Amino acid sequence: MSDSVPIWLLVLTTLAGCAITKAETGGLVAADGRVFFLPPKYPGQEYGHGVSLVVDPRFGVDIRDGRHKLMAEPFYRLDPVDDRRSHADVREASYKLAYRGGKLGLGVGQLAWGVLESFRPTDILNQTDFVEAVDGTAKLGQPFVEGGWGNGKVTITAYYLPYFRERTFQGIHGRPRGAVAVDTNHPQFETALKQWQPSGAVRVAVHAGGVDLGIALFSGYSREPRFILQLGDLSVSPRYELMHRALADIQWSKKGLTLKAEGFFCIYSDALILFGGGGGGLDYTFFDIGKGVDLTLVAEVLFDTRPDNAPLTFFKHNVFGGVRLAVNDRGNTELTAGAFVDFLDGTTWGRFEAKRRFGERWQVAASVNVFFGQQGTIPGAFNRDHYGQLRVAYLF
Amino acid sequence: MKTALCLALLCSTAYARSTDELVAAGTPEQKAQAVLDEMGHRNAGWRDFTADVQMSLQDPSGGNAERSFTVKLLEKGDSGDQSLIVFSSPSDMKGTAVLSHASASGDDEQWLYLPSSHRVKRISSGNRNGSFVGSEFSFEDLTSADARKYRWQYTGQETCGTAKCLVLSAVPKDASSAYSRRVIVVDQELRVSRVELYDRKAQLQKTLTYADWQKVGRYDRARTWTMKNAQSGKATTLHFSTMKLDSKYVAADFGPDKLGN
Repeated sequence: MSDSVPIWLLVLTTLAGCAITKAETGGLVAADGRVFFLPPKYPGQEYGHGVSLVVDPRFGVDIRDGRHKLMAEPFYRLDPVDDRRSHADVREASYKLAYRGGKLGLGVGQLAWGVLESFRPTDILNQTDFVEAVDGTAKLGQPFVEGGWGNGKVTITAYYLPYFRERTFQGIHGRPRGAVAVDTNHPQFETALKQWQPSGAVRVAVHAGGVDLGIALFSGYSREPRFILQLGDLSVSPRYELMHRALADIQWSKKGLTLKAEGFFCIYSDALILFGGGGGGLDYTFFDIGKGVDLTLVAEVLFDTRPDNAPLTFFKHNVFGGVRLAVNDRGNTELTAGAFVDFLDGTTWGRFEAKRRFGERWQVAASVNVFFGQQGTIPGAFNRDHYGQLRVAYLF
Repeated sequence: MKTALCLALLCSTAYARSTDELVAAGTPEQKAQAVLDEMGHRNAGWRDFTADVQMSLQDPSGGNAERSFTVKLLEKGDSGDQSLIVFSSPSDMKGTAVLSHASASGDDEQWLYLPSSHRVKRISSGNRNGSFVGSEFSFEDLTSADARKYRWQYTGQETCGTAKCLVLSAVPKDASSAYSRRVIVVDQELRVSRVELYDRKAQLQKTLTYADWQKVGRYDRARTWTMKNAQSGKATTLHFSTMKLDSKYVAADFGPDKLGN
């Protein structure tokens, strides 16, 4: 036994011996300092100033010219104010194989759908990591098995998602949040399988004639919960329900202009709620407006016809306007500003961010988020939670 | 189609015509076309190409910056080659990928993958003429230009080392090109050894020199590309290593869906 070669060593040496095996590390560790400009308005909330720490490294191994790929991205945030914001996740831990147009993948991963810049109503495979980003851009790792085939013009992918991830929510001390902290300890599910209720999806992506078109079907738990008020202790529990959804996205570009649209139609089978939503817009880039600086303007419209007994959304009738300035200097300086405005009730959510790399490894990012609106709207619920954040990151 | 291509390749190897023969007779346009056809024959059939590239940016004040990326190219012949560039440095660009589908007619298509957002974005291709990641190269300079987009002329010979080189002039048919004219210097082996790029005011803007030739398969590839900006004094050098042909990539490996996967 002692002189037999362990099988894993054989596998490792075989992999390492392949002509092209490439290992890459990436990601970052960061300190995020947050300052809230106004005192909190809900019971239990703390003022919220503090520095939280983020560990978000990435590892990748490419074997045989990328035919086999291993990826890993653990994530952890330690927050001094909100114990719900202190959380760990596996963003990615996957194996992917691509061979002659066929593809296979399994593990935990980030399966991103949707094309819009401001918010993507069709990005529904991964659960939103809401404590990480209230704009829905951070996603929890989704356990998946995928298989597909493509020829460069048409790609068909089938997904089997064996496990459901619950949305993260700010705790009692946390900001920004709504009037009542969501009780994530007592989630409700429509089926007895609870988190083990599988989801499935099929997507056909066509890329032809300068147009990217995607059509997909999804069936499984809605990643968006409804909120159930518990009359006993007046707490709010998330409830996850089965949903079937058809979606499409399309984009086209010419010179500096890109046109985009995405939309969906869905049915919540239990309560027989039907609605649709989506959005469209354009971005236009003025290249080299001086000293190599590129200016991009973004204009988008978001709409959603959901009734009041469906899960809440921020974006029922909004316009988004945004500006991005890429300075293209040594430190890759980038300035972005944008605002969602509800064109019916005028509620507004604005944000600004500036970031730059210093030297080879350090990056500094400063951002401000502001929320204006009447009570009863989501930005209105946050309307004392304007905050500024300074991130100092070390890049691997 | 494949047979025809192989036959054409065999022909060109067996009866490779010397540079003198190519420009022996005809109008300047015909001579240029003869040179281009022969170069095309010699260069076709490589299927796909991968390399690691180290990019060094120098400016006259002594500032330096380094970037590195891997590049994969897929030969698509008449419909336009496809390229995939994945950055490994600087650290804030690590994992960023740019996929580009050249198109013989119309506009090129490009997609960008940003690892921080795990998303593939279709981006406008209007930046072919602008600086590529702050370097003296534009995206257009990096990728193989489609010869059919230019009006070509043979303009004579010049001495290069101990031999004579052929000099061609190319004027873009598309008025939106950043350059009014290119001068292409071709050596005895029918390799492009230098390209001079003239701006819209017909002033020399940049000079691209290819050096350190290496055989990759049966093709000659330059390991060092140097782009000097005659107007700003800045320069960018690309060093290619681990060059490799025929990794058996297919179109699906260069699809936008594959980016980031």
